[in-house]
Amino acid sequence: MMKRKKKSQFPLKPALLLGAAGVLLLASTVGSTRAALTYYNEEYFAQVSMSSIGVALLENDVEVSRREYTDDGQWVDSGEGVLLANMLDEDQNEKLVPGKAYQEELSVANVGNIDTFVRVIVNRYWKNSEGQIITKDTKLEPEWIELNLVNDDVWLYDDQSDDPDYSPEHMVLYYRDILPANMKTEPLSDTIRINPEIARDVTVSSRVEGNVTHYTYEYRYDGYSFYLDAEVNAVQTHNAVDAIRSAWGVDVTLSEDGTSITGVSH
Amino acid sequence: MRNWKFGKAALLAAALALTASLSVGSALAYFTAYCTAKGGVPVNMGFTDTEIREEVIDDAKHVWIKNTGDYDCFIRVKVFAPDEIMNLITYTEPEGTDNWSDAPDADGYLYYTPVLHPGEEASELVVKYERPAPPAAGEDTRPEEFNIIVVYEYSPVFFDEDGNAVPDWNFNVFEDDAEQEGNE
Repeated sequence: MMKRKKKSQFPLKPALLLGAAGVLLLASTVGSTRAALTYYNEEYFAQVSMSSIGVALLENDVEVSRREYTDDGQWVDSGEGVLLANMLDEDQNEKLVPGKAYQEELSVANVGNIDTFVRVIVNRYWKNSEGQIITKDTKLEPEWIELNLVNDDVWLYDDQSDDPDYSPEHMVLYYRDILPANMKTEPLSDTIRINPEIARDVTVSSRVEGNVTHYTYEYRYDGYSFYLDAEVNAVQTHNAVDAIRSAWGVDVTLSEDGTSITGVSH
Repeated sequence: MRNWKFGKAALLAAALALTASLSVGSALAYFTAYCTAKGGVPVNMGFTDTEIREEVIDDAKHVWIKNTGDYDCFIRVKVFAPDEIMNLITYTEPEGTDNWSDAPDADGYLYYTPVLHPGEEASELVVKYERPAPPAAGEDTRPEEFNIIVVYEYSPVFFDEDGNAVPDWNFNVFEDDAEQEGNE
């Protein structure tokens, strides 16, 4: 009596499907590898280097921060840069004078190998003498940190009028044109000054010694500090509208030839 | 067999998801980059201190004013004397400088034009006076003694819209009924 052969329990079809998927995956990887091997020459290197994107922030024409991505997804950067470090001459014990305009030229350099669209986000705010950020002071306004914007023919200031989260602390400027590789923009600002109104708010206290009253007058905002935070964003120019929407979260309109930003909406 | 059907479906879905994820990944891989920087500056404000030094030499009062505090300022002086003396007062700068007004403005003040920086002393101002001539006839009513008083003030430095350093002589932080101390 022949023993009936037991039917195999191995799931052949699913295994085949899984195998096919695996082959597909492998094929994609192998394809890349094969391409690398096949075109491993100078021309190939040139092609790869074209995909490097990088951006730097300049303050008074001196680079203060940069980040460059390489083709393998890694990056090199300077870490967070420092702004306003040379605004006052510390050797001379120079003190900031409200109302005086200090040079503050902010510009952007394309340090990668592809053309980009760039924007700059500036946040300005106050800290009190204890180092706490001032958010609800009715008089000490962010607008008193007056970053004088220039070159509006090339820098588009986003007034954010349609943004419900608009705050005067927050300034966003879009460089209208494509910033070619290894080029830098014109400055978006030329000076910074503190509104002199800050020096008109004086408090008085008194103490009595015998029959003499001594009055002490102090500026209310003495010891406060103002801060600027700047962030530079760069994005590819290919498929720019979608790329900008994805990366920056805004909708831009481009000129007909696609070489400049003509509008921003939220 | 039911279990295998379920397993097959799951495997198929997993395979599709894996394959799809490859495509989605590449579609969203836009080239982007960013960098950041930040910085802050303290706003140290205060009232400076000034000192006046006066010497009477040869019918003239020599005046030096020094900024002894930590902040820039502008200064001005006003001279008070009997009317018959006031008309004969002249102002000079013996050091050859031209920092002071040549004569009092309509408000009676002489203004020191440059900013007086901390630690600096303003160039010397000489207030020269003459005694009135004796009367040709009659009793000589000229006083034997008279006082010439020099009052000075300082203003913090402000900046106008063009970035020029300017004083604001109307910037009065003192309460009307407050007794001022050491500012004049």
